[in-house]
Amino acid sequence: MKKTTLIWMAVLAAIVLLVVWCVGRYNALVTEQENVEKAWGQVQTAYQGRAELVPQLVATAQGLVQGEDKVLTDVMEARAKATAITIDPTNITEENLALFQNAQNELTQALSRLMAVREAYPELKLNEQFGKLSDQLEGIQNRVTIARREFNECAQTYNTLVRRFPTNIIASMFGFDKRPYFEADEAAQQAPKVEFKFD
Amino acid sequence: MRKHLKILLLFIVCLCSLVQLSAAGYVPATVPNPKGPTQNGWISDPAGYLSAAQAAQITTACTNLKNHVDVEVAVVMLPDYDRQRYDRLTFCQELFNLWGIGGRERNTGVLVFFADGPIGRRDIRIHTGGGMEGLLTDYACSEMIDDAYEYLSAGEYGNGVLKIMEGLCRRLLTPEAQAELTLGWAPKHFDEEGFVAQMVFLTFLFVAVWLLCYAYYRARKCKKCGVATMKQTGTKIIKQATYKSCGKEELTFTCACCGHTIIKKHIIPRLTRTTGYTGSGHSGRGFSGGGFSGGSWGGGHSFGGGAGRGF
Repeated sequence: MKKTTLIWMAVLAAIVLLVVWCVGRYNALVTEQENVEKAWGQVQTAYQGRAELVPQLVATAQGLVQGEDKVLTDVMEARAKATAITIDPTNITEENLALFQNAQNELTQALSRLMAVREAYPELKLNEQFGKLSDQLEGIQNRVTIARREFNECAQTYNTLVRRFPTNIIASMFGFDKRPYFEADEAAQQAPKVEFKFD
Repeated sequence: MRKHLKILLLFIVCLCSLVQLSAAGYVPATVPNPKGPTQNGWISDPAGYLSAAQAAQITTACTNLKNHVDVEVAVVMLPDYDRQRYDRLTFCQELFNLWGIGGRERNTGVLVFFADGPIGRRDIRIHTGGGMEGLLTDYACSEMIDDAYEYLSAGEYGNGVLKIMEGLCRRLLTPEAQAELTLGWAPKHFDEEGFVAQMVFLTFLFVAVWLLCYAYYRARKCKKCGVATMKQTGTKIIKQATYKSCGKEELTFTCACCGHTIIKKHIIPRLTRTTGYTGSGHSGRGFSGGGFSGGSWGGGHSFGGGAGRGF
């Protein structure tokens, strides 16, 4: 046995250690990526639930209000646009997400205009069916808020992992990209303020 | 030095007072958890809104729900919470997932949350886990709050919460609900033991490889010139090993670098007759739970279901 053998052994041990480390990091990245995808699934489920509720809501409102056709058609149009955009969870990019978010925000706004109309029509406000549906809508909006927040949290954990040294080497080697975030869109999230005027 | 200390002290005092200031109300992390190493309850009521009788009734209801349909209900009643940083929904959501109310597998947990405050700013919310959303729809939660509203708005918070518990039991302890909730009720646990065992095994493997390498290096290191080129060059048997006694041999090692030679005595192990292997396997486990009087939530998760109201 020579000194060189020893060196070779040390090199081999180092390589083995390196490979084990790489595998560990790679698996950690995969786990986090899956978490992001799962969180995205929740976001889409929440939005989908809302899209499914909208036709019932509009149908119920249609019989009860007159002269608010614009608001109702706006809601249906926004819904059609919003459901047209889905994103493959493995391919969430900044542009994709921006499109998705814009379409969904439009629906949010159209819906809040519909809810504002409610105040002007006592028969709509008192209608049990509509009340039930708007309770459900509120619940779904809550889920959307939470699903979005959880997606952002997962994306942040994942992005931190992707960008931090030395895991970023593994990430760039195997093509783990950064994931975009939902922008906090407080204006669209909040229900419209109903102003009382006392003239 | 003393001056520095004074400044440091002042700084610490300032910091503490800041913390005091910011702790104006509860945040999810500071809500006392009714489950822990020494306690296993369902109610977190630090300000004492519940009478002993009411608390006992709620505990019975919670225990029933846990035993019959495997639903965990947490009842939290706070005098106030940090309303600047949290709203009703986010507070409940964070608390729910922080504690992990409901089983990890099926997320069958419910959080009944009440927070006192000035009239008009009081909060009530029934927050449901992911697995409860089918049975306790947002509308059902809203109805339960409607039922309890009479008491709550009159300031009888304990009775209000009891009314909600009644509603929960009425909805969840029916045969249909039981059938749905206990369908496929096979508690599974994350294989933590397996994970730990793997880690321990890997660590041992690395240590073993390292020791082997080190021993090999030590054995080959020349005492004279320090280069690891010692090699066995000869063997001389002094006494043969028999089936009855050990043998002895002398091993000659020479350094290829400087020619330094050493002789090591080595004992040859007694000869053994080959027989069938009759080693006994290891058995038994290292860990066992000792006297354990505490409890913990099941690790459930919520997706924000339920209904709430300010009043």
